[in-house]
Amino acid sequence: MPALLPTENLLELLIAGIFTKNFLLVMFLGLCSFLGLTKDMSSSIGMSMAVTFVMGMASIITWPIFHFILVPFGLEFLQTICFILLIASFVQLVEFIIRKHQPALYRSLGIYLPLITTNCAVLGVVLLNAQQNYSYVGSVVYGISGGLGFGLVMLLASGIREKLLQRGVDMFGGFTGAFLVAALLSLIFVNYFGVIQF
Amino acid sequence: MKLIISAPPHIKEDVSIEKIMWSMVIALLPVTLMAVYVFGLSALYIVLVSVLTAVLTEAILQKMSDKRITIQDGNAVLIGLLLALLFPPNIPLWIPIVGVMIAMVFAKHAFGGLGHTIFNPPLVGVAFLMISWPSLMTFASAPRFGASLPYILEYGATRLADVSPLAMIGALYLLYKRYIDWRIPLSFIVIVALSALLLRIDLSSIFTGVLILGIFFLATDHSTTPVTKIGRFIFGAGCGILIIIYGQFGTYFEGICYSILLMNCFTALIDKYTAPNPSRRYVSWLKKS
Repeated sequence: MPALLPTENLLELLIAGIFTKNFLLVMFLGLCSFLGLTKDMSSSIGMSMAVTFVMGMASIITWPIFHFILVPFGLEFLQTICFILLIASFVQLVEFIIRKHQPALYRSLGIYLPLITTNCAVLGVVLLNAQQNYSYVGSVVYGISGGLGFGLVMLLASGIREKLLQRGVDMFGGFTGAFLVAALLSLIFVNYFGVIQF
Repeated sequence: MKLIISAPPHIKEDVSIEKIMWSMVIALLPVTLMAVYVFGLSALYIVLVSVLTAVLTEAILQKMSDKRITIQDGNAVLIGLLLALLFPPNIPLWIPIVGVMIAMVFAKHAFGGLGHTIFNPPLVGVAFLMISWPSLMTFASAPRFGASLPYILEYGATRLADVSPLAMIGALYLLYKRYIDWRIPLSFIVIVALSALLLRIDLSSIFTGVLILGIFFLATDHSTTPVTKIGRFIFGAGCGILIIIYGQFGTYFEGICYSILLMNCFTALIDKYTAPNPSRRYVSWLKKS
């Protein structure tokens, strides 16, 4: 069983989550929300805040369940369905609490919080944590940095798409253009950060 | 006194897209001739094939999409020439064709053509080729001129543009005529030189012909860089920092290409957050009085 305290380099995990193993552009997870919510900047900021929060919290709650219940009883094959159940119920719970106590935050997050329950980037980060055997602190750091990387790319792409809309370019409007922007961003990210290793 | 009555725009200055693009092509001619002299006819073939492919691709694309054919404005020639200068001299000739077509189709015309590009077209072509055929894009044996004049005649040149930083002298004319902005090159050079001095990197390994080409011709591309003055300083400084970071892990040539592309991604954000807001000042002045 991995330790609670970090055994891996936390800075390395942070840089891996944000840049070198970016969930959107290098691992291609969470592309559905990337395409749907990068039309304007405010919704992309709301979505990436919600994703960062849920990725961090999902890492916090799934690690003990995996290492204290699933692994001792030899039930690792149940990890996917177990994690989906945990994330969905957790997001519902958070939605209730935020709606009751922080109505302003609830309104600004809006529809994005329930959407995240089926976001593949969130499931991806907890499965990667289990696969890589990260320590407790390490997996939380990896989850939060993955969310920050997600937010960075959402911000970049929404800026570019807003600029394209302002210029009134119709040639590859809509989703085709968004896929083209995603492909070129991914080309640049893979090329630049592919070489950086520790 | 003679009065001239005409409809707007009342442009006094003799500046046009054609003039800017063709002056940039002419400013690149010395380094092209130098490359042909150093590397022989293979360099000439690469340049010719790139420029011809660029012009043909643009003409075919505009014919297909029922637009006015604008090959005479020089932008296609410039993209082909810039891309040719970033190739090593011993590549098979289908590599320039593929690279130029990628640059013209996916980086220039897919985004709406001249003035609408988000990513620098020549660099997109290079990035695509580097990730697809990395072994063909590297050059092992390099001509050497002896170490006595490293800054004037590049020794160990690996790209067509590497022959001599001094051959980029045409950029000064472009700066003088204000066809390219001085803010990006200034902050770019200052950041690269300062960090090279602080980190004790050999200056001759960074200041190659490709870096000079990147600073004056690639990083100053008009539509892929910020429009605000502060934004341009930020853009140049960001390029410099990213090159130094990349150089710690890889080669400086790739660092130059990818860091300019990466800053192109940030251009929209830089523009958004450095946009001047005159009404805010006015509102605070109103509140005070």
